[in-house]
Amino acid sequence: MRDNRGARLTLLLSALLPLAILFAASVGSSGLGPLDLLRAAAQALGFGDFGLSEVDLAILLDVRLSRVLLSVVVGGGLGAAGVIFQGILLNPLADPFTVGVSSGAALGASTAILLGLGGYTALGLGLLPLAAFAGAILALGAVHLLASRHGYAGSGTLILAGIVVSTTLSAAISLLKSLNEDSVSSIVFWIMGSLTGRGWGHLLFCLPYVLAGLILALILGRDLDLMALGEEGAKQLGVDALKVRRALLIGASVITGACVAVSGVIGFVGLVVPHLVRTATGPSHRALLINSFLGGGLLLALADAMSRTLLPGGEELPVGVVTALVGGPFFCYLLGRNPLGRTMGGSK
Amino acid sequence: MILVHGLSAGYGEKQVLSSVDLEVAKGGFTGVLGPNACGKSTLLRVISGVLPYSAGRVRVGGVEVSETPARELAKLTATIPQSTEIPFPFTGEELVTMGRFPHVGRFAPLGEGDRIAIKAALEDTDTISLAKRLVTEVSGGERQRLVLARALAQGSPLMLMDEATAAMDVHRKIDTFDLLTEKNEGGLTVVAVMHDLNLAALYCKELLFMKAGEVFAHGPTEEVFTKETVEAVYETPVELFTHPSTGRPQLFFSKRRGR
Amino acid sequence: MKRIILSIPLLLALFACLPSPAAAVCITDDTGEEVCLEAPPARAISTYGAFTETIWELGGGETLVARTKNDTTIPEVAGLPSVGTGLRPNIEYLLALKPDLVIARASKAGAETLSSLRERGIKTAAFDPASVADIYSLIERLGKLFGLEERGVELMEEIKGEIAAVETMVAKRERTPSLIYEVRAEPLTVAGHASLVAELVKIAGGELVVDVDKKLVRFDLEKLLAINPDLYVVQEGPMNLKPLPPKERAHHPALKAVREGRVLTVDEKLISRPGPRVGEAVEVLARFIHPELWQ
Repeated sequence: MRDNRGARLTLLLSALLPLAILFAASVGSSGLGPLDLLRAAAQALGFGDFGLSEVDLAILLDVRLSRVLLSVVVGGGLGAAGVIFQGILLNPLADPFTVGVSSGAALGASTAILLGLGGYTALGLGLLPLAAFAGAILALGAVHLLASRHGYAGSGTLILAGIVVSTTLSAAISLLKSLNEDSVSSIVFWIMGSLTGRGWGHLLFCLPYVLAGLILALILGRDLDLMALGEEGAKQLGVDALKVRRALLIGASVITGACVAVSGVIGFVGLVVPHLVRTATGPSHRALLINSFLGGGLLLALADAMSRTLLPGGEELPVGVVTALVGGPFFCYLLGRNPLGRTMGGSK
Repeated sequence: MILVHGLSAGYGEKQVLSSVDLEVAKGGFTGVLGPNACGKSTLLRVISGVLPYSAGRVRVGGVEVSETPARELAKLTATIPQSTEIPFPFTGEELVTMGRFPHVGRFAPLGEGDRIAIKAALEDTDTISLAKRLVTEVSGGERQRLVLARALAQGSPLMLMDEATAAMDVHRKIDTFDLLTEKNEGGLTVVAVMHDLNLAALYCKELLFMKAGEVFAHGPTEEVFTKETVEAVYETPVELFTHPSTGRPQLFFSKRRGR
Repeated sequence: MKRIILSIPLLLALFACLPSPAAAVCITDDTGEEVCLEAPPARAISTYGAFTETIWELGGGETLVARTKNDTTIPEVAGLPSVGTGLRPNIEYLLALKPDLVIARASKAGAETLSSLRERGIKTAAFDPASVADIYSLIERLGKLFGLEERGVELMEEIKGEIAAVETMVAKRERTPSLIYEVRAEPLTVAGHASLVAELVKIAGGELVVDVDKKLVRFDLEKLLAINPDLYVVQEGPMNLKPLPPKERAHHPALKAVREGRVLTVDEKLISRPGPRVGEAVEVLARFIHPELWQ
């Protein structure tokens, strides 16, 4: 019964996502519209000259398309990572940033900005995303060390380790900011999140990590379901809870790290998309993961399209602000309609 | 079915069980009794394989628990834990279905046998009406019945229960123990940690009294459920009677003062 | 104790009889506050580099007793003790230096610092120059406060001369190239129409082609490509620490300016600072925008 609901939502989202991608690729501050997109595609495929300049082609097929696809991957990655974190932390309020991966990425990026590493490239990317990813992995390592001292016992240990790491790293970022006040805005705006100026290189960097993490979680989907019974409950049903938790912590953190590295800290998606999907199709993790990936991608593609078209003259809004401003009230509305227990869990 | 020898276990520095010996035969129905913090739950945790032990041997169905993968243990032992809180809104049926996961692969769909086991468990526990409801929205007693159904669906030859009927009303408690007796007659070995002494004496073939992490008395219910043993274990005055229709021993508590 | 209390009304009466302190000079600063000094300051502190440079050019440099952390363009000033950052200086340390005048930047972010200085009785003048005319006015008012009005007029004439020279040169131009000025690479932020840079570019014979009436504009890269400016200027400085060179970025190579190598990297402190080097800034821009005129 509920399996069907999950499959139906998957079908619906799979149909909507390409539409959203097309829509997002059809709007932009340059004024090039859907017809231009069609012409550009035709021209690029060699069906003749439709009067688009080289720059027009670059805008439509390079700048816009890579950005839209990256927004799908990042949004999907954050949605899936949110599901995993909520699952292994047994906490419906967890999100991809709960265990401090994003703080690590932010610290990595801030350090790179202040050291002037932004001026160098490696692997066809600026050093900035690479430094951010390295920071995320270091933060994961710190959380892992702290948690493994207690044998990964209990989701509480992991949350606590995450909070310790996150708080420490945030303090380090604040220290960097206060020592470099003239450059504060660079750090602040990087952290705020943006997809502007991203290209295929960023997409190629991010995609493998997101897919690897997603596939790992899908393989462990049933184990993740049983994790909801708590560590002992899961083990009594044959799940090696500690190993599963560790593997999924790493998987979800790598997804988050890769997403944050290319886009900064875009909030809301990783918290709310899993909630909404769970409300619609229940907490079974395989369906939840796939639908949250699709839903997160859909949401971020649309939010990013709004962030670059709402203001006139090519001015952009931070995309995280759009996701929160548009998504927040919608989430409130849904919470108002549904009993809290359905999305938030917890027992009477 | 269960063979425990010289078992010591605890949490970190704190040792809870010391040199516990226990044998439960296949087809046994053993009630584990004792005051709070006497080590009942710890013993169950060790037998179910979730708590490592520092000394002794624990064998279930012929294998050493500490050396057996969790998945194999789950095929031998079904456990109903004390807490059945679940943070996510699974349906009752989804919860019961989890009992079949030790038997199916990560990707394999449920087979016909799995479906039959789930359906039977739902029927046996009278939880068909709860199958579509969310476990986050049913009462504690209803959730315990669903968890019982899950344990039955698991189809393991040993059932460990930790206060598994604590939140149920009398009607459901009796239903549950009647059902367990029926399953026990069919070959299921049951080990149940209980607080309700009379319920234990009514249903259990054997009783294990624990006190301060050690076995105080263990034997057939008629032999060990005595005024002396109960008063010594619980440090509470009791009067023993015989159940008028079943002939099982039952007890009344007495006031400590002002008799 | 009683005697002190009794003497308070007496003191008040005494103050009331004193001549008004407007005896020397008064100016109205950019927060609308009237700042009056009886004599030129002996111990002054500037908390913004552009103002420090202006005071230095006016010849009031020897009155400076401290600087801010990044205020290091003038070697002599770099040797002074630092009171911290411009927005949030160490007030205690600043007070201990006993300044008789503080020159600060008038901004929303610095408003708290400003009011806490004034509450502690420190004479503070705050300015927020956003155009060339504002810079002249700044020079004039600082000249008054420091008793260096004549040098102020001179300095203004110098700058006007520099700007006029550039204007004469670019008047001969055949076209007005379009230009984008990158304030920050990550996320892409460019100078808008309300910025000082826009005015400088205009004087230098170019046109800043961002159609947003703000100082800073977070910009969509797509729009940048659509505009496809003739020239691209990247500022390097605290707001844009070592940005990736445009030709190494994901999409910038599609820009005409990048392909043709018409990209200039400038010092943020020279171009974006509303100070006495504005003439120099205009010339740097003009030479880049119209290299043909300087051959």
